[in-house]
Amino acid sequence: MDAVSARAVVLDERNRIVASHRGRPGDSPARLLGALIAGGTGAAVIDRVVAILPEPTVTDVITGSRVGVLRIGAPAETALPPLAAWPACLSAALAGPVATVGGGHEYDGRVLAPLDLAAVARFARRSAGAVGAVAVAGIHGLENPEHEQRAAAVIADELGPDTPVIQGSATEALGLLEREHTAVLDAALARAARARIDELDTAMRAHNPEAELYIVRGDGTVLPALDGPRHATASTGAARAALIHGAARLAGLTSATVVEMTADHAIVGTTHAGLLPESGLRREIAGVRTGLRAPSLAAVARDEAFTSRLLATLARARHGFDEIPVVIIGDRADVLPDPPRVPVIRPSDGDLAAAVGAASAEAAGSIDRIFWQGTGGRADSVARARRLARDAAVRAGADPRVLRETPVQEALMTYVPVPAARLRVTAVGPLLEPVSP
Amino acid sequence: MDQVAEAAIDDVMRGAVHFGSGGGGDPYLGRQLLTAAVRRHGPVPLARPDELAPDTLVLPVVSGGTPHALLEKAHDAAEAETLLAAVEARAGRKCGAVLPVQLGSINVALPLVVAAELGLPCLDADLMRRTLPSIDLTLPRLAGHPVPPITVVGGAGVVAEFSSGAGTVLGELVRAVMPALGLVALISAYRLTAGDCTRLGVAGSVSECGRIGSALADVRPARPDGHEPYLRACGGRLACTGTVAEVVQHSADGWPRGVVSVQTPGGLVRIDFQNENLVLSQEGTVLTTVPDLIGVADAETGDLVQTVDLAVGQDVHVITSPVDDRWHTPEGLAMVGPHAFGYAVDPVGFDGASPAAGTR
Repeated sequence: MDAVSARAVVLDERNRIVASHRGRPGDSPARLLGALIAGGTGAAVIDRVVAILPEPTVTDVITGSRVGVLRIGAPAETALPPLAAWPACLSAALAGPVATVGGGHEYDGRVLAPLDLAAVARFARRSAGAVGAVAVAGIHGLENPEHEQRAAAVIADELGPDTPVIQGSATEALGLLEREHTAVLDAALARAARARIDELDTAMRAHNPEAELYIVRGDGTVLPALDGPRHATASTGAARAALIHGAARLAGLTSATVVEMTADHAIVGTTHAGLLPESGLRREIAGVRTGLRAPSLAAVARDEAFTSRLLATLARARHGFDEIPVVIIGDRADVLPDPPRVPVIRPSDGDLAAAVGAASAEAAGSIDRIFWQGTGGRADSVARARRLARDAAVRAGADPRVLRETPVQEALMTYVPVPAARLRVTAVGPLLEPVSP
Repeated sequence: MDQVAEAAIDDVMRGAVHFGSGGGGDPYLGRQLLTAAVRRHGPVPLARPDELAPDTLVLPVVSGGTPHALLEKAHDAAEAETLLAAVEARAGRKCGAVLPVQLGSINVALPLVVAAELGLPCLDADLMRRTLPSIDLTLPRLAGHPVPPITVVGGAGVVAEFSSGAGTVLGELVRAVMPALGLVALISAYRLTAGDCTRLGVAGSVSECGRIGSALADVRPARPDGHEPYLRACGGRLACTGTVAEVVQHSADGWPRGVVSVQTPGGLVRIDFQNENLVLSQEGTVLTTVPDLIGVADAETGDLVQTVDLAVGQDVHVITSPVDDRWHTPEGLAMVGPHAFGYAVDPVGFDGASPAAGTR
């Protein structure tokens, strides 16, 4: 279901469209689902719903919950306090109490400073009644999230179960600031995300109490709905990513370069074996850098130099994937002539591409962190990175029996005599099918 | 430029990336650190070395450690005070200004942050005129000035001092204490006065970052001549344009080494890098080597990119530009030429000419 373009489809077990609904812009996800089920022949029992939710806007962030921000890292990480260099209007609108307390870990997981539980408790008391959510981030929290977890427990005790406490280590991203920023934005948006997901969940359960709900992420893979409220920013870019996957799927392909032509621009992206290549860039939301990775997608404006720039963008998107076809969709697909010297497919029902991409989406887990090769050497680190990625994919809903992996990318640590490397790897696979009754 | 105010930070940081030659760290963290410091303490005053009394002791500052670790643990507010106190205690007198050791995003931002925190001006100068991977690779040392005393300040008040010895040995020792400090430290070295800096002729570095960064902001990547403002500002040239085909890294000899391959209309171009880009070659012909600068810009955005962040399929421009002429002397090349980094090629300048041929 594409709640952005108000499209919903039902796919059978072989990913064929058996029912669809074209709604109106602004339709709520729950209403879209209701309309699909009411009108859908062949949609007798829907056992899984995958939704593309609208991505958060600056206004959503500003009008979201006030957030208490706790950094665990004093005295090591105090030159740049939390939110200190944020756009001033944004931090003024959303910041509740902000504190940096003693604690955190070193690059190899050992304790950097003991966790100052008394200071955490003081922060929690200041936050009580003053915030709608809390973000907690600790130094080297990916290598060792223990201090984050203990602090989050103290805060949850003080503020009660209804106040979301978002941990930085829940975002797989190198960089304390990037994880902290993601946690703060997710905290600000958590209540609104929960309300939206709960509404959809209720509508789905009225149809089938056993059904599973998933939310599409910015790379076109899914997040279980249970985790959705804590990762509201993960929806950023979901519609475009699902569109690329879905267009390929409509053309009967797992790898394709997709062009979506609209009145004012063309979107170009490549899906390779069900994954969008990464751009190497972090997403910015409301002018703040997050830990979310942006896939490689290009938008080409339809100005006078459009054709030549589109062909150059197409060539770039297909670099290294010379054999794969080009799939053209979009409401202006007919004005674009076939690009030269490539197989071109123009599937029907192109306007359903994003919804199809959602309904057929897979689950993935990505790892991106520093691995200290202190004891077991490189082979151990690589094995650990792959295991962590597979575990994350399974937690996201993937069937552990049929996972695929990307090659492990390695970047060595520089300037220091420590055998350590930044390793990046993604595991992906189809969703585990619900057990048939 | 007589101060770094908030409005100037973007330009200064963009220009600092130019001097990183593909290394020196992503500018985001430095920009955030500097913005926070300026918001807290006000604009950082810059001073030319000849504006200060010649016997004014200065505090050279460089961030030690690895950019990846710095992303997690980006210095504590007390480190600057600790460093200043240790250096002043050893010298027996007060420091009157902070001095950047090298140019590169973190190591331009950090001295400015330290200056803001200490309430001192920052000298509009630096000791390398680019980024080089070791604290002993500086123009004062090229001129015979000793590297020590070296002061290393880690988190939680740890101070290590190395008072005398050969620069290369001390460089190893400094690296050796880094793991215990969590791979991040604030480092000072060289006992220098403002008068020394005037004699060295190393003025204008931060202003230069601002000037080049402002030209980078004027780059219009969609236009064929869109990079002209930047090329004019840095005196460089567009060596080639192509698509990143491969990025590999290995560490056979204990140093991280890497190779980027760029597919260009003129064939495969190769960039050998360690921390910084060091050798640019095409089909076996060396086009440019360290010490001149080899930068890679994203063709779509025009932004300079850290080499380790390049992605396969990315369209890029490779841009080469000159560095301080003293690095091209026989003594300078012995310190920072390609041979010094273990590459068996002769130095070639940014314009493809051999510096030994007297073209410079």
